[in-house]
Amino acid sequence: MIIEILIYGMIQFLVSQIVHIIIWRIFSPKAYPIWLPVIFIFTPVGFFIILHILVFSGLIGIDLNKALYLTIGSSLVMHLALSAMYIHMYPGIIFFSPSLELIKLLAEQNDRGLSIEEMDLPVLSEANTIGMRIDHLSNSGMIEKSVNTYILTPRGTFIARSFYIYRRMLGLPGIGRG
Amino acid sequence: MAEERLAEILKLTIALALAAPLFFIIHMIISWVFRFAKTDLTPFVGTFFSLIIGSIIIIIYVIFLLGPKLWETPLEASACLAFVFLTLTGFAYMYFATFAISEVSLHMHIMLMILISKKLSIDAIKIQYSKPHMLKERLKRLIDLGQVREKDNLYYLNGRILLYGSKIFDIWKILLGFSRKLNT
Repeated sequence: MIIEILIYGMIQFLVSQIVHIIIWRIFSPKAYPIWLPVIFIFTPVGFFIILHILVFSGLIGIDLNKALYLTIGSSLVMHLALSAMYIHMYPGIIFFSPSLELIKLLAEQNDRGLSIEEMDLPVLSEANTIGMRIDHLSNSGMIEKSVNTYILTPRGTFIARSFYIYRRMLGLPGIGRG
Repeated sequence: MAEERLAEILKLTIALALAAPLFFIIHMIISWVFRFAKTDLTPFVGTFFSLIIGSIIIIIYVIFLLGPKLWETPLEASACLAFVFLTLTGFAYMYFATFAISEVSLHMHIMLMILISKKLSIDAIKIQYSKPHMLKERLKRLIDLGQVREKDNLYYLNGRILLYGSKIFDIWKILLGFSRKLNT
């Protein structure tokens, strides 16, 4: 049974990845914070619920016994863990990371060291750091422009406040070092 | 026997599903202990410790308490360990990334700055994100993670884990149809 759980979990994740790649190849959604959870989390969970409805309404004849329930449930937990990992990894894949750009720059120097003044990284320009992030936060409905300043939308306030409380619970300053 | 095995698999699944809250509780305990002890602990090091301690607790529970009842053959034992490893890795990465968002993400930093000051001008954001400030913060973090070393104000590459990781990201980017170059 544990073998089935492992295989079903991997198949679920693989199917979600294939759907994700196909959609992204057709058009790359800008609202990925909505699209990725829909593909990786809500669709498999919704499928699980629809399966129940079909079985209990007698439309399909599957014997939903305890063992099958547990196999599907356990494989879903594994799929959700892998999906959560991928969803968190995704921004690092599509956006450049200043830290990775620094690592790449130092790797290009072989054994020669670089001073801060010598670290010429065009990707750290204002447009690529602040500009890109502000555009992205605006497009995903987290912040909005009000005259010459930015304010949080209700959705942005909820998310920012959740992270603020999380950091305070860890005894850390409400805002990270950036 | 079959019923007993189902119960053990259920316990295993619940233990794995509770991995993320366990990481958080351990992280909280470690952070506050170090804070009360007035010992400086780099935020990322504290997070790593929490993930390692949490994973060890779950693995001990699986191997010593549930193990003998969960598998009968070496193949089942391997499948069980693969299931535990993949699920734990998934939740551990999720927890680590969530903490990293709160600590280093530019997006979250801008949102938290606006939350604290209610509204923020672009100029104020630009001052916070000056190039030297960003470089210094990132270099300090990379030194803490052992990926960069500093000698006589010169910075050298010290580890290649992040470099190899970035190459995998580049391949995945191409698979999704993005250019390898900076995505705007």
